[in-house]
Amino acid sequence: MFRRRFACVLYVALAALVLARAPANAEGVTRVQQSDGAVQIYDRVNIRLAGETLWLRSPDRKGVLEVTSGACSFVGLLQRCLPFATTLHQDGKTHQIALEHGAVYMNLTDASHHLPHSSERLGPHVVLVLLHTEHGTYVSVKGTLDTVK
Amino acid sequence: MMKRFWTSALALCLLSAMPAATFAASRGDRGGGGGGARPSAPARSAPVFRAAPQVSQPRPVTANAGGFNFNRDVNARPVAPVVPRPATQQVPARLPNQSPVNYAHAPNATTSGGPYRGRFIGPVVRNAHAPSGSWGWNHGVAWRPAPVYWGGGFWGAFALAGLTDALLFGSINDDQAQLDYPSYQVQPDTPGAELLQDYQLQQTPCGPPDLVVIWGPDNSVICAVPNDSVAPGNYQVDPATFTLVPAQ
Repeated sequence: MFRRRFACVLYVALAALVLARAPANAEGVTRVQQSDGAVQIYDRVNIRLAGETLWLRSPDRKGVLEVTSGACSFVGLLQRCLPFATTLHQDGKTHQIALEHGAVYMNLTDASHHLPHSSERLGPHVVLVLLHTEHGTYVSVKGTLDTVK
Repeated sequence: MMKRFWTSALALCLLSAMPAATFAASRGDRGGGGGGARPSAPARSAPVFRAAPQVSQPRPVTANAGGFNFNRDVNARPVAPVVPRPATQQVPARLPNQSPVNYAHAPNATTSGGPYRGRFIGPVVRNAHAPSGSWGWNHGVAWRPAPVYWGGGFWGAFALAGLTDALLFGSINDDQAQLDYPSYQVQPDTPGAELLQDYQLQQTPCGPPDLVVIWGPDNSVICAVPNDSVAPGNYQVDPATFTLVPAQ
């Protein structure tokens, strides 16, 4: 009886261990505020980093926002880049979204670090993206990187 | 009894070690309907979006067929592209009856050095504070300019679309080419600010003679007061080594 119960607990414990070690996928949150004030929030956005380009995939997997950055430098241990091109891949089409300015902060370390001039901290492997398009749309993205190439 | 206690405790410990993020996917399902966008609830605050204009009650928008909603950007009429060209043509005083002069085009944005381009061949002024090796100052990561920012973003996040004369910090005039190269105040926590700090240079508005004139990426320029390490003259930034190369 005891052996059976012990095995059951052991299985639960091992399952918990496996889950704990597995990366939690697609937990990014993207907020899009249109110039007329309308706001949409997307949970479970998948965030992929390839070089200096971020790929944000919508939760329904139907849209991908490609954010290309440059001028990447370090503020302390956080990497800060300046996005200069944004492309929306959606409905089988590619749309260029004219960008006015923005900022990308990336914490590629295993520890939390403060954002410059802010009380907010970025957790390990967390990325923060702020964009302002030429048509007045504000975009903010925050979440853990799902893939880094 | 004790064994049962220890096994239960072990299981609890392991469960508590699971990060909250592990459950993120299941939490996100609360919206249902395939995981599309949800209009924001009025009570929800925007923790990372301080710059956005305050809206008393965000209006939900019509849901997209799928993906992200950038309808206003995608369907909007194209705006005039930002010309990443820092230099502007001077308008010379013209006598009556004198026909306008066709001036040369401003330098290409991807070049550097303005009128001194190609002349930065002098002995490098050593940067005693920059780590040795290529891109050592940037943790070994190559720095590449971001096109829609003045100086590629080396001196700060100066979006070309938002630059106005009110932000000017002097300028360098190229009388021969009838071009004006604007200068702006270097922002803190930028590569440009770090470079000035390394050479212990103090930025000053461009214009007066006998200054240290530093040409950065994309024909950007800033000026500084000369010191014991850096004499007056024109210099170009070598981003790879984070050094100054004088013009000859």
